[in-house]
Amino acid sequence: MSRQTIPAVLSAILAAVVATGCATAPKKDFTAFQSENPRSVLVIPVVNRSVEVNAADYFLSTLSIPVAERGYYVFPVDLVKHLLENDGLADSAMVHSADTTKLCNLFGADSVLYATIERWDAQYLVLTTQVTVAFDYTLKGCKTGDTLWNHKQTMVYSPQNQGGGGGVGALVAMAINAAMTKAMPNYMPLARQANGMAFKFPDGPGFPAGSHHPEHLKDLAAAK
Amino acid sequence: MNRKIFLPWLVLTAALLTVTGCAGNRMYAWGNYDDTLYAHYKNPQDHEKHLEKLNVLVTDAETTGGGKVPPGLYAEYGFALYEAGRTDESVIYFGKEKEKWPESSFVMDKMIRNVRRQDEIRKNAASPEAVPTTEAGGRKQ
Repeated sequence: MSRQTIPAVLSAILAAVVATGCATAPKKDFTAFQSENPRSVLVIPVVNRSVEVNAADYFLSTLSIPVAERGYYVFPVDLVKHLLENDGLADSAMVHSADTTKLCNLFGADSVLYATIERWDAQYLVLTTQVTVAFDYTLKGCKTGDTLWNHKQTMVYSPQNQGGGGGVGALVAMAINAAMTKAMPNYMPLARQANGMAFKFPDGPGFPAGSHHPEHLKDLAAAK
Repeated sequence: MNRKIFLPWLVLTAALLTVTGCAGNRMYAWGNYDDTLYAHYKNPQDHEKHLEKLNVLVTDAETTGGGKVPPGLYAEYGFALYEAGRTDESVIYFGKEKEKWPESSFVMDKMIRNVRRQDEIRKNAASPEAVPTTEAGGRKQ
């Protein structure tokens, strides 16, 4: 690669990063969301469709911050998990299939966030490893039990291979890098990024600002 | 570093800043709340450490965090105290959650009632002579 092409390549990367980082998603319909106007969100245990058995709890640990930072009261996820277990709902699939209003009444919540892990895996490709997380988020209102908001978010990571000099040495470096990523894939930053994108608003598909947020009601009006 | 190399680095730095900039500033003093929960789910047996970490999070949020205690933190700490058998303290923190976040009052009242009821049961179990033998008459103190 010549010196002249480097800035061009970097600009392209910059453009791609900005595009994915702050892309304006197609506008969602917030009519139902507005009419329920939830103040609080009950984040229930996550349903896991990946093969990584611990992923559900790990992912659960990432959800409170992005939702609360949108201005909603988020019920303490670990306490909620234990109370549901005590009520005979130890399996998250059972929680998700339970009646929404029943869940709401157990906690006095205004809305329930159902999160499902579709993918949480590391795939070894030729000389690289691709780490993928994919989630489905659905918010249901406690007054009606209707879906107020839904979003699917996928994030993919591949280690950057900055091989020293090229040739066999670079190939070996790439292979080692790929093997290390495969052996110890770090899903948590990816999961947090996915949440960050999913809940952003108005420059993302996320929740309009809740009652604790200074932009409450203003951002939704401005987005129209 | 010469100019030709410097410029691309500047562009890359700008790109990284843009990405992190999208996250924006936080409303609450979370500390490493998510890492603490993650560690708890990774090593669920380590109750003491979890309790200690939550204690630090609460203290930091109240002091250096300027009182911007995030939703759920008092309750999570109260629950860890309850699990450790420190019921009187747990009730205090359930109360703090309720006071700071009225949205939580229904479930916090429920937690406080549950803790008190279990305290009662434990007290009675510890001194069985205090428990009246007849159900019909109700309990007498």
